[in-house]
Amino acid sequence: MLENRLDIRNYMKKLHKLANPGKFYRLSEKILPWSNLLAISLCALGLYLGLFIAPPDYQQGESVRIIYVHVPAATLASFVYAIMAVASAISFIWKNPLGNFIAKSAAPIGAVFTIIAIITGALWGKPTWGTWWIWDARLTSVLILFFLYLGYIAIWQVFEDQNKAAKAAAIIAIVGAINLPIIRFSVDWWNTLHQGASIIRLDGPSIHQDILIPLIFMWLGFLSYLISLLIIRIQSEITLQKIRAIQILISEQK
Amino acid sequence: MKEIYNFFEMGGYALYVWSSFGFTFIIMLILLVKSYKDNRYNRKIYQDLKSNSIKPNEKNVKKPQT
Repeated sequence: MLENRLDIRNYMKKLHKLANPGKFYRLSEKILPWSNLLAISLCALGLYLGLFIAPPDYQQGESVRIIYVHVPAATLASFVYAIMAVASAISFIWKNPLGNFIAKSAAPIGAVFTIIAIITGALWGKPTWGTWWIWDARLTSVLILFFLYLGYIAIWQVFEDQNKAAKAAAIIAIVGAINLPIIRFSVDWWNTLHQGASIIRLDGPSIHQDILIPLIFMWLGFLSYLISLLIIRIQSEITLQKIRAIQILISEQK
Repeated sequence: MKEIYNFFEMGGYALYVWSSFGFTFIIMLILLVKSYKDNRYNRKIYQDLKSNSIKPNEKNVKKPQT
Protein backbone atom coordinates (compact mmCIF):
# COMPACT_ATOMS: atom_id res chain seq x y z
CA MET A 1 0.00 0.00 0.00
CA LEU A 2 2.75 2.39 1.02
CA GLU A 3 4.88 1.42 -1.98
CA ASN A 4 1.95 2.02 -4.18
CA ARG A 5 1.49 5.47 -2.77
CA LEU A 6 5.17 6.23 -3.30
CA ASP A 7 4.86 5.05 -6.89
CA ILE A 8 2.00 7.42 -7.48
CA ARG A 9 3.95 10.23 -5.89
CA ASN A 10 6.95 9.56 -8.12
CA TYR A 11 4.73 9.40 -11.15
CA MET A 12 3.09 12.70 -10.27
CA LYS A 13 6.55 14.23 -9.84
CA LYS A 14 7.51 13.06 -13.31
CA LEU A 15 4.30 14.46 -14.72
CA HIS A 16 4.96 17.75 -13.02
CA LYS A 17 8.43 17.91 -14.52
CA LEU A 18 6.95 17.42 -17.98
CA ALA A 19 4.45 20.14 -17.27
CA ASN A 20 7.26 22.54 -16.34
CA PRO A 21 7.17 25.48 -18.79
CA GLY A 22 10.97 25.68 -19.01
CA LYS A 23 11.27 21.99 -19.89
CA PHE A 24 8.49 22.34 -22.40
CA TYR A 25 10.26 25.29 -24.02
CA ARG A 26 13.48 23.37 -24.58
CA LEU A 27 11.73 20.26 -25.85
CA SER A 28 9.50 22.24 -28.19
CA GLU A 29 12.52 23.96 -29.69
CA LYS A 30 13.69 20.55 -30.91
CA ILE A 31 10.31 19.53 -32.34
CA LEU A 32 9.58 22.78 -34.19
CA PRO A 33 11.86 22.37 -37.25
CA TRP A 34 10.48 18.87 -37.82
CA SER A 35 6.84 19.85 -37.55
CA ASN A 36 7.51 22.76 -39.93
CA LEU A 37 9.13 20.43 -42.45
CA LEU A 38 6.32 17.89 -42.11
CA ALA A 39 3.62 20.55 -42.50
CA ILE A 40 5.10 21.85 -45.75
CA SER A 41 5.95 18.49 -47.31
CA LEU A 42 2.71 16.71 -46.33
CA CYS A 43 0.53 19.58 -47.57
CA ALA A 44 2.56 19.78 -50.81
CA LEU A 45 2.14 16.04 -51.35
CA GLY A 46 -1.55 16.14 -50.43
CA LEU A 47 -2.19 19.09 -52.77
CA TYR A 48 -0.34 17.41 -55.63
CA LEU A 49 -2.27 14.15 -55.19
CA GLY A 50 -5.56 15.94 -54.55
CA LEU A 51 -5.41 18.43 -57.42
CA PHE A 52 -3.60 16.44 -60.12
CA ILE A 53 -3.94 12.72 -59.44
CA ALA A 54 -7.30 12.20 -57.69
CA PRO A 55 -10.23 11.87 -60.08
CA PRO A 56 -13.28 14.17 -59.98
CA ASP A 57 -16.40 12.80 -58.25
CA TYR A 58 -18.97 11.24 -60.56
CA GLN A 59 -21.76 13.38 -59.10
CA GLN A 60 -20.05 16.52 -57.84
CA GLY A 61 -17.41 16.82 -60.55
CA GLU A 62 -14.35 18.91 -59.73
CA SER A 63 -16.06 20.71 -56.84
CA VAL A 64 -15.32 17.65 -54.69
CA ARG A 65 -11.71 18.86 -54.42
CA ILE A 66 -12.87 21.32 -51.74
CA ILE A 67 -12.89 18.24 -49.49
CA TYR A 68 -9.07 18.49 -49.20
CA VAL A 69 -9.28 21.70 -47.20
CA HIS A 70 -12.78 21.43 -45.74
CA VAL A 71 -12.49 18.09 -43.96
CA PRO A 72 -9.04 18.56 -42.34
CA ALA A 73 -10.05 22.03 -41.11
CA ALA A 74 -13.45 20.88 -39.83
CA THR A 75 -12.17 17.81 -37.97
CA LEU A 76 -9.24 19.68 -36.46
CA ALA A 77 -11.58 22.52 -35.41
CA SER A 78 -13.26 20.09 -33.00
CA PHE A 79 -9.97 18.39 -32.13
CA VAL A 80 -8.37 21.70 -31.08
CA TYR A 81 -11.37 22.44 -28.89
CA ALA A 82 -10.95 19.05 -27.21
CA ILE A 83 -7.28 19.87 -26.54
CA MET A 84 -8.35 23.23 -25.14
CA ALA A 85 -10.98 21.70 -22.84
CA VAL A 86 -8.66 18.97 -21.53
CA ALA A 87 -5.75 21.39 -20.99
CA SER A 88 -8.08 23.81 -19.19
CA ALA A 89 -9.46 21.04 -16.98
CA ILE A 90 -5.96 19.84 -16.06
CA SER A 91 -4.90 23.39 -15.30
CA PHE A 92 -8.05 24.01 -13.29
CA ILE A 93 -7.68 20.88 -11.16
CA TRP A 94 -3.90 20.74 -10.64
CA LYS A 95 -3.29 24.51 -10.80
CA ASN A 96 -0.62 24.02 -13.42
CA PRO A 97 0.07 27.07 -15.59
CA LEU A 98 1.16 25.11 -18.67
CA GLY A 99 -2.39 23.86 -19.27
CA ASN A 100 -3.62 27.45 -19.44
CA PHE A 101 -0.84 28.39 -21.83
CA ILE A 102 -1.79 25.47 -24.09
CA ALA A 103 -5.50 26.31 -24.04
CA LYS A 104 -4.92 30.03 -24.58
CA SER A 105 -2.52 29.34 -27.46
CA ALA A 106 -4.83 26.80 -29.06
CA ALA A 107 -7.94 29.00 -29.21
CA PRO A 108 -7.00 31.23 -32.20
CA ILE A 109 -5.82 28.18 -34.16
CA GLY A 110 -9.13 26.45 -33.49
CA ALA A 111 -11.04 29.59 -34.47
CA VAL A 112 -9.12 29.75 -37.76
CA PHE A 113 -9.84 26.08 -38.53
CA THR A 114 -13.52 26.64 -37.72
CA ILE A 115 -13.91 29.67 -39.99
CA ILE A 116 -12.11 27.75 -42.78
CA ALA A 117 -14.60 24.89 -42.33
CA ILE A 118 -17.55 27.32 -42.45
CA ILE A 119 -16.34 29.33 -45.47
CA THR A 120 -15.20 26.36 -47.55
CA GLY A 121 -18.41 24.59 -46.53
CA ALA A 122 -20.42 27.49 -47.95
CA LEU A 123 -18.32 27.47 -51.13
CA TRP A 124 -18.96 23.74 -51.44
CA GLY A 125 -22.62 23.98 -50.49
CA LYS A 126 -23.51 26.52 -53.16
CA PRO A 127 -22.74 24.31 -56.19
CA THR A 128 -23.71 21.04 -54.45
CA TRP A 129 -26.79 21.89 -52.35
CA GLY A 130 -27.71 25.11 -54.12
CA THR A 131 -27.31 27.23 -50.99
CA TRP A 132 -24.45 28.94 -49.17
CA TRP A 133 -25.94 28.40 -45.74
CA ILE A 134 -28.77 26.56 -44.05
CA TRP A 135 -29.67 26.51 -40.35
CA ASP A 136 -29.30 22.79 -39.95
CA ALA A 137 -27.81 20.88 -37.02
CA ARG A 138 -24.27 20.38 -38.29
CA LEU A 139 -23.78 23.87 -39.66
CA THR A 140 -25.34 25.55 -36.64
CA SER A 141 -23.35 23.52 -34.10
CA VAL A 142 -20.11 24.41 -35.94
CA LEU A 143 -21.11 28.08 -35.92
CA ILE A 144 -21.63 27.76 -32.15
CA LEU A 145 -18.14 26.26 -31.93
CA PHE A 146 -16.81 29.39 -33.66
CA PHE A 147 -18.60 31.64 -31.17
CA LEU A 148 -17.25 29.55 -28.28
CA TYR A 149 -13.74 30.17 -29.56
CA LEU A 150 -14.41 33.90 -29.88
CA GLY A 151 -15.92 33.99 -26.39
CA TYR A 152 -12.95 32.14 -24.95
CA ILE A 153 -10.48 34.55 -26.61
CA ALA A 154 -12.52 37.56 -25.44
CA ILE A 155 -12.52 36.37 -21.80
CA TRP A 156 -8.73 36.66 -21.67
CA GLN A 157 -8.98 40.26 -22.88
CA VAL A 158 -11.79 41.28 -20.55
CA PHE A 159 -10.18 40.39 -17.22
CA GLU A 160 -7.34 42.53 -15.95
CA ASP A 161 -6.33 39.88 -13.42
CA GLN A 162 -4.82 36.99 -15.36
CA ASN A 163 -5.63 34.43 -12.66
CA LYS A 164 -9.30 35.34 -12.77
CA ALA A 165 -9.23 35.28 -16.56
CA ALA A 166 -7.67 31.83 -16.51
CA LYS A 167 -10.44 30.49 -14.26
CA ALA A 168 -13.29 32.04 -16.26
CA ALA A 169 -11.75 30.92 -19.56
CA ALA A 170 -11.26 27.39 -18.26
CA ILE A 171 -14.93 27.20 -17.24
CA ILE A 172 -16.06 28.35 -20.71
CA ALA A 173 -13.74 25.82 -22.37
CA ILE A 174 -14.95 22.93 -20.18
CA VAL A 175 -18.68 23.73 -20.40
CA GLY A 176 -18.44 24.38 -24.15
CA ALA A 177 -17.09 20.87 -24.66
CA ILE A 178 -20.74 19.71 -24.55
CA ASN A 179 -20.90 21.03 -28.10
CA LEU A 180 -18.32 18.51 -29.38
CA PRO A 181 -20.50 15.36 -29.31
CA ILE A 182 -23.34 17.47 -30.69
CA ILE A 183 -21.19 18.37 -33.71
CA ARG A 184 -20.02 14.80 -34.15
CA PHE A 185 -23.44 13.18 -34.00
CA SER A 186 -25.56 16.03 -35.37
CA VAL A 187 -25.64 14.29 -38.74
CA ASP A 188 -27.08 11.14 -37.13
CA TRP A 189 -29.46 12.71 -34.60
CA TRP A 190 -31.17 15.20 -36.88
CA ASN A 191 -32.19 15.32 -40.48
CA THR A 192 -29.61 17.47 -42.11
CA LEU A 193 -28.35 18.46 -45.54
CA HIS A 194 -24.83 17.69 -44.43
CA GLN A 195 -23.78 14.15 -45.24
CA GLY A 196 -23.08 11.59 -42.53
CA ALA A 197 -19.65 10.46 -41.42
CA SER A 198 -17.78 8.86 -44.31
CA ILE A 199 -14.24 8.48 -42.96
CA ILE A 200 -14.29 7.59 -39.26
CA ARG A 201 -16.90 4.82 -39.26
CA LEU A 202 -17.21 1.49 -37.51
CA ASP A 203 -17.23 -0.33 -40.84
CA GLY A 204 -14.33 1.62 -42.33
CA PRO A 205 -14.23 4.61 -44.65
CA SER A 206 -16.89 4.79 -47.32
CA ILE A 207 -15.04 7.06 -49.73
CA HIS A 208 -12.80 5.76 -52.48
CA GLN A 209 -9.11 5.46 -51.65
CA ASP A 210 -8.13 7.72 -54.59
CA ILE A 211 -9.80 10.55 -52.66
CA LEU A 212 -9.04 9.17 -49.17
CA ILE A 213 -5.24 8.99 -49.56
CA PRO A 214 -4.67 12.64 -50.57
CA LEU A 215 -7.13 13.59 -47.83
CA ILE A 216 -5.06 11.74 -45.21
CA PHE A 217 -1.91 13.53 -46.36
CA MET A 218 -3.67 16.89 -46.16
CA TRP A 219 -5.01 16.02 -42.71
CA LEU A 220 -1.54 15.10 -41.45
CA GLY A 221 -0.17 18.28 -43.02
CA PHE A 222 -2.79 20.38 -41.21
CA LEU A 223 -2.01 18.49 -38.00
CA SER A 224 1.70 19.34 -38.36
CA TYR A 225 0.76 22.97 -38.97
CA LEU A 226 -1.29 22.82 -35.77
CA ILE A 227 1.67 21.40 -33.81
CA SER A 228 4.05 24.05 -35.15
CA LEU A 229 1.66 26.86 -34.39
CA LEU A 230 0.88 25.54 -30.92
CA ILE A 231 4.61 25.41 -30.14
CA ILE A 232 5.22 28.95 -31.38
CA ARG A 233 2.24 30.35 -29.51
CA ILE A 234 2.95 28.49 -26.24
CA GLN A 235 6.58 29.67 -26.34
CA SER A 236 5.30 33.19 -26.81
CA GLU A 237 2.95 32.75 -23.86
CA ILE A 238 5.74 31.41 -21.61
CA THR A 239 7.98 34.36 -22.52
CA LEU A 240 5.12 36.75 -21.79
CA GLN A 241 4.76 35.20 -18.35
CA LYS A 242 8.49 35.72 -17.70
CA ILE A 243 8.16 39.34 -18.81
CA ARG A 244 5.32 39.83 -16.32
CA ALA A 245 7.39 38.27 -13.55
CA ILE A 246 10.31 40.62 -14.22
CA GLN A 247 7.99 43.63 -14.41
CA ILE A 248 6.52 42.75 -11.03
CA LEU A 249 10.04 42.36 -9.64
CA ILE A 250 11.05 45.77 -10.97
CA SER A 251 7.94 47.48 -9.60
CA GLU A 252 8.60 45.94 -6.19
CA GLN A 253 12.17 47.19 -6.16
CA LYS A 254 11.14 50.75 -6.83
CA MET B 1 -1.86 25.27 -73.01
CA LYS B 2 -5.32 23.76 -73.12
CA GLU B 3 -4.43 21.40 -70.29
CA ILE B 4 -3.44 24.32 -68.08
CA TYR B 5 -6.67 26.12 -68.93
CA ASN B 6 -8.69 22.99 -68.17
CA PHE B 7 -6.92 22.60 -64.86
CA PHE B 8 -7.68 26.12 -63.70
CA GLU B 9 -11.22 25.96 -65.01
CA MET B 10 -11.98 23.02 -62.64
CA GLY B 11 -14.86 21.81 -64.76
CA GLY B 12 -16.74 25.08 -64.24
CA TYR B 13 -16.22 25.08 -60.45
CA ALA B 14 -13.15 27.34 -60.59
CA LEU B 15 -14.69 30.07 -58.42
CA TYR B 16 -15.68 27.67 -55.62
CA VAL B 17 -12.57 25.48 -55.66
CA TRP B 18 -9.95 28.22 -55.94
CA SER B 19 -11.58 30.56 -53.45
CA SER B 20 -11.73 27.65 -50.96
CA PHE B 21 -8.05 26.88 -51.37
CA GLY B 22 -7.11 30.57 -51.49
CA PHE B 23 -9.05 31.49 -48.36
CA THR B 24 -7.61 28.53 -46.44
CA PHE B 25 -4.06 29.36 -47.49
CA ILE B 26 -4.29 33.07 -46.72
CA ILE B 27 -5.90 32.80 -43.29
CA MET B 28 -3.52 30.02 -42.19
CA LEU B 29 -0.57 32.10 -43.39
CA ILE B 30 -1.80 35.22 -41.55
CA LEU B 31 -2.06 33.32 -38.25
CA LEU B 32 1.38 31.77 -38.79
CA VAL B 33 3.08 35.10 -39.52
CA LYS B 34 1.33 36.84 -36.64
CA SER B 35 2.28 34.09 -34.17
CA TYR B 36 5.92 34.14 -35.33
CA LYS B 37 6.10 37.93 -35.03
CA ASP B 38 4.49 37.96 -31.56
CA ASN B 39 6.89 35.29 -30.37
CA ARG B 40 9.92 37.17 -31.68
CA TYR B 41 8.68 40.45 -30.21
CA ASN B 42 8.10 38.91 -26.78
CA ARG B 43 11.52 37.30 -26.83
CA LYS B 44 13.16 40.62 -27.66
CA ILE B 45 11.33 42.43 -24.87
CA TYR B 46 12.29 39.69 -22.45
CA GLN B 47 15.98 39.87 -23.41
CA ASP B 48 15.96 43.66 -23.06
CA LEU B 49 14.28 43.51 -19.66
CA LYS B 50 16.64 40.83 -18.46
CA SER B 51 19.80 42.62 -19.50
CA ASN B 52 18.60 45.88 -17.95
CA SER B 53 17.14 44.65 -14.70
CA ILE B 54 19.39 41.83 -13.56
CA LYS B 55 22.80 43.10 -12.68
CA PRO B 56 25.68 40.65 -12.79
CA ASN B 57 25.82 39.11 -9.36
CA GLU B 58 28.83 37.59 -7.72
CA LYS B 59 26.82 34.46 -6.98
CA ASN B 60 25.71 34.01 -10.58
CA VAL B 61 29.19 34.13 -12.08
CA LYS B 62 30.85 30.78 -12.48
CA LYS B 63 34.36 30.77 -11.18
CA PRO B 64 36.99 29.20 -13.40
CA GLN B 65 38.03 25.85 -12.03
CA THR B 66 41.56 25.63 -10.82
